[in-house]
Amino acid sequence: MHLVLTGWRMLVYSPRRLLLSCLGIAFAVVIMFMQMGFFNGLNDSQANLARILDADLVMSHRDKDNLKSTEEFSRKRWRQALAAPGVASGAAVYASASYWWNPQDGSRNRVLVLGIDPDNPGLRLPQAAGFPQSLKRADTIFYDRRSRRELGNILPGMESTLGQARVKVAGLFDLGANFSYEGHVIAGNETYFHVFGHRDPQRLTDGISLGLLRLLPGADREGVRRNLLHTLPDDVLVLTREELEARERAYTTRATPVGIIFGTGLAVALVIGIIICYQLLFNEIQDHLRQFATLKAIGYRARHLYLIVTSEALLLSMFGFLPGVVAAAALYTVVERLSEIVMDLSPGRILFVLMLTLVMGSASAAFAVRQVIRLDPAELF
Amino acid sequence: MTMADSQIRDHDLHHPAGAQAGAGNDAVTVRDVDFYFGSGDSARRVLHNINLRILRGQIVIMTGPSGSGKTTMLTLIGALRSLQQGSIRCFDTELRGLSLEQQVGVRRNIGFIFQSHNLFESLTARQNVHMALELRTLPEADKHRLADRVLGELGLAERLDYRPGRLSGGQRQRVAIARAVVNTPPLILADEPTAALDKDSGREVIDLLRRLADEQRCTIIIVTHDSRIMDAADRIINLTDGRISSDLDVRRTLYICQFIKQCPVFKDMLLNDLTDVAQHMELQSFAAGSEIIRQGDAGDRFHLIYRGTATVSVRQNGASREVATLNSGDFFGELALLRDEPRNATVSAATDVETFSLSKGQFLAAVRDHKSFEEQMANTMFSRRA
Ligand SMILES: Nc1ncnc2c1ncn2[C@@H]1O[C@H](COP(=O)(O)OP(=O)(O)OP(=O)(O)O)[C@@H](O)[C@H]1O
Ligand SMILES: [Mg+2]
Repeated sequence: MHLVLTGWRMLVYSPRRLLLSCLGIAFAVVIMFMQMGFFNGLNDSQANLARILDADLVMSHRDKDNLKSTEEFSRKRWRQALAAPGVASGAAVYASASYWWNPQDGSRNRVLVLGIDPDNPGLRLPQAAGFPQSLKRADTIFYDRRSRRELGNILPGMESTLGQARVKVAGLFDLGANFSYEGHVIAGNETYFHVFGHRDPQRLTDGISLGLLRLLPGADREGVRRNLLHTLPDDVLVLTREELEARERAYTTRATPVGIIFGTGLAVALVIGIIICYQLLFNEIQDHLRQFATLKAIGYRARHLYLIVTSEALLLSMFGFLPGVVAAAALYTVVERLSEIVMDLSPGRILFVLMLTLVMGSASAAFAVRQVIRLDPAELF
Repeated sequence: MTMADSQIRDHDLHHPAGAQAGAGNDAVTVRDVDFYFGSGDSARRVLHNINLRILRGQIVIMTGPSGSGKTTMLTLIGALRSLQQGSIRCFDTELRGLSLEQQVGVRRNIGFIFQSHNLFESLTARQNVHMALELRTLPEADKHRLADRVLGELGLAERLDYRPGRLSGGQRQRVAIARAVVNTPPLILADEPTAALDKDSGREVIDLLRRLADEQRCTIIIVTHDSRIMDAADRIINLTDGRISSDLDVRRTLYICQFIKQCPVFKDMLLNDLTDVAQHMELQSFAAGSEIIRQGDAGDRFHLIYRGTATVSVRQNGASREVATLNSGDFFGELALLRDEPRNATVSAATDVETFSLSKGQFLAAVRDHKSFEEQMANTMFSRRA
């Protein structure tokens, strides 16, 4: 304990050096937060669709490896599944990419259009007023308020062009843009068929994107799934909603280099932090070589000295972490506003970065303390 | 009044520095120590066959030219370096062959004082002293008490919470000493403790060490070039080129000087030469009735009577005849040495006799080097009957 206190006293003895080092560490902490924020933002926004599905099991085309792709499967399969034992009810969701014209400046952006049955939507959007009943009127849609700003400043009652059709905004919901689409639109089935009127009507109505199934209370989910996979032809995939969400979250990391990009960013930030921290410890030890050697001469062991240096490093890391977390929180809000990517600063993530920061401190201490270990107290005389 | 009753009458000349004899009194025993820096062809021998016994409670000053191996010797005694050859016993621990871990254990019983104070700038005087206490399992309150008391004794009671930056050089060195002595180590090693200090501060520090040695029977070895502090030593060891070139028991020598100075032969000698002679004198005891020198023997020593009465007798034609009585302060035995002849008389102890004696070699060297001594001798030879 006394050694920790000594580390603390040595650290705070020169406030200027401490301040500079803190800023350096705070900088590394902010970079780590940003890298992690972007990374999580990507994954979170990829998984946002999975989260609003109201289902126990989700059917999709076998090759559909993420919810933003547009493979379709036959509605008949879903109907078959509805009849299977243990299944209570279900809903079918159409999904296709289309263009949305910005009503303010006429620019065109890709959006994902979901088609649902207003009487059986299969989506949970508690914040969306009037959903899904308002979709029963022809050519009305719900617009994702958190779509990118380039899509225009959209308010209920506005009109715009979606694909081939003129549509009217019946209401707004909250989902969030992602890296595949600039925004989301939900339409009733009739409107959906109208928007994609140029396609073959037969295939359009038959090809659903997702088949949602709700099970009877007490039904064995795993059993139902196995049974479905067994009885249906093998062109469909059946996942639990949780599996789907996990798959979605991991998808970006798996299918795109963002995981590597941001992972590298995180690692680089960590290394920067270690270097900054090591630099301070190095100077600190250089300035105290004679003192450390004296301690060794009078009977301190390596682990005592290690404790002093490590306490310094960890205290310094904490000092740097606090302003870092504050700055990161501020930056998250700004980035969220500018990029419309969800930047979620959850306690778990704060803890994660804190842990990385402490790892950073201990690692630099482990490097720096070698100087002390090598020290020969006989050279003091 | 005889000369034997001079000033420091009860000084025990048989046992240097007044310490009691016996192995239990040895603080440090160095035996046949050699030390090399480097290895193989580039190995350089810096210590040659060092033998040394240092008694408890002594202050030993080690001095000598730069590069003579003083610091190396100190680091060996302090278990800061591993011994290569020979043995050093530090109290009851043999240092030869200790593991690094065991060396750390030995060092915990040694107080180290360095040329620079090596205090933590960021810690107050009290906290710096605490650094030495932290290795012990003591209640926190006791540590506080100890640190404050030691600093108080060193005159730093008002400066407990000062950082080194606000202390003078002497005060800083005193804090460093407090750190070295707060655990009351039985042995203190100091390398040039006064080199960085002005005269007064240096004096302060040395007086302090003297007090520690006297009051706590702490053994102190000081390496120094500072001639101003030699007087604090019980013993001055001179190292030259890795060898002990002289080993001076200060108090004994001073005492002998005072004694022999009253003897006409040495009266006009310079103090420096006197200490040289005194240093080489050996105290010898002879029981009443025994012969100190015998007529016809080869001359080997010069004697100066310290205590007791001796009679000189000459044997001629088979008959022995007493020719003189010698008392404290009288000397004899010089003629055989100067002339390289056999003894021309027998001197026997009438009572128990103690003499300071010089070997032939040392006697001749002294005669050669000290003009006044030679003249004195010539005079006495003249006046004395052959
Ligand atoms: N670490 C070392 N490696 C090699 N040689 C050394 C080392 N330390 C000292 N020496 C050499 O050993 C010899 C004795 O050195 P030492 O430091 O013991 O001398 P010293 O008597 O303390 O001298 P000074 O009065 O200058 O302090 C010197 O010639 C020195 O150059
Ligand atoms: Mg030296």
